[in-house]
Amino acid sequence: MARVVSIHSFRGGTGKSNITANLAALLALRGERVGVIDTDIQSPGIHILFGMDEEHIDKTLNDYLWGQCSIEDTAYDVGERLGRNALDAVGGAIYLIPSSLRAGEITRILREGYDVGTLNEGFRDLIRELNLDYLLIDTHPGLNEETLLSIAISDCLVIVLRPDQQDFQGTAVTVDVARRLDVPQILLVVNKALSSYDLDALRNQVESTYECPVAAVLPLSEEVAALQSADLAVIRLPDHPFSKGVKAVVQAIEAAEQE
Amino acid sequence: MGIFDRIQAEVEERERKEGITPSALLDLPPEQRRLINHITRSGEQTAAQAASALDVPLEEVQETLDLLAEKGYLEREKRPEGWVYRTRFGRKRARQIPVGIWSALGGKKGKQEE
Ligand SMILES: Nc1ncnc2c1ncn2[C@@H]1O[C@H](COP(=O)(O)OP(=O)(O)OP(=O)(O)O)[C@@H](O)[C@H]1O
Ligand SMILES: [Mg+2]
Repeated sequence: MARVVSIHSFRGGTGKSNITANLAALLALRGERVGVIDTDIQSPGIHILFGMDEEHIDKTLNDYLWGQCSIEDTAYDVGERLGRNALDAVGGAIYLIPSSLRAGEITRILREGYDVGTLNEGFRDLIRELNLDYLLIDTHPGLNEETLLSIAISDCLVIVLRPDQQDFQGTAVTVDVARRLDVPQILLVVNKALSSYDLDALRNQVESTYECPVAAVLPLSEEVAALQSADLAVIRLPDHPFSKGVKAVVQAIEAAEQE
Repeated sequence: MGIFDRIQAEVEERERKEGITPSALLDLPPEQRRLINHITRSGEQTAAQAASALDVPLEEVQETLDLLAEKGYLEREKRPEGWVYRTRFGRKRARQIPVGIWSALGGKKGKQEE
């Protein structure tokens, strides 16, 4: 059975797309077949992390939602970024399903809406057609119908927050929604922690506030920021504390599967 | 029928035709929500599968399934193993006020003028 993992945060800019792409890369390098879908229809971006040019994007999630193609037609093999040999050696694979960057296509979705059932079928078809072990869903911040659907079908929800009072409040909302939708595994990831913080104290504080495990506390890092979301930290900076933290998140996700 | 009943009736009728939206899942009564969450996450389920997964008596599950199907939130299909249920999601509407509300208000307005 494939596992569906959504990565969400109540507020924007927490690091969802960077964490999603790096999680996907690590899973693929462990021999898993991974799909990554950008459901941030209003402001897509995760393709950049996989080095995908706008010009190389033909069919997108938007085309699928309008019934103009099947969902497999929107999946791009982005394994090059991880090193083809390394992937082949373990039998892993990684596919990206991008959202459209054309202004007209973004506004059309907002103007006309779309069929949520079609999106749901798309998730299932992807898993079946690409024979996926994991489907990772990168979401738009806040709550909207595509995010709620992704939470409703997820086996695991990763909620990203910064050590910031506004993030703390918003996270309470997301945790409540995830509980109402009976998500079996909820993991918190604190990102952009300042080096002056006591990381263990921060972890304990967050865990006791939400009664959810913190899978990792990731440091605010100039090296990670310098990648400008144009590359994967787990490949470029494998020994960096950020990459080690992402590894801990992978382990937490895999641990639940073994139960 | 009062205006709010009329709006309520129009909204319910529309949902019956269109299925449920993910946001509406949040407002369902707990036992209905738990069952539909389980079916949504599983993709599809028979009554017996859901009953054993949720550890709820089969008759109770069947009753809730019938209720959810009647509301248009579930669709079912006859298979060799019996009836299989799937969540039926509706359309995410464009950002505008639903048509039904205008006609309900229109109806009210008409009454006042009588
Ligand atoms: N640990 C970190 N240290 C430094 N910079 C980081 C870190 N994590 C993410 N960033 C930077 O923060 C910015 C936002 O990251 P990202 O786009 O992944 O967030 P997001 O939650 O997906 O944003 P959005 O809500 O807009 O989709 C990027 O410039 C990224 O490089
Ligand atoms: Mg993002």
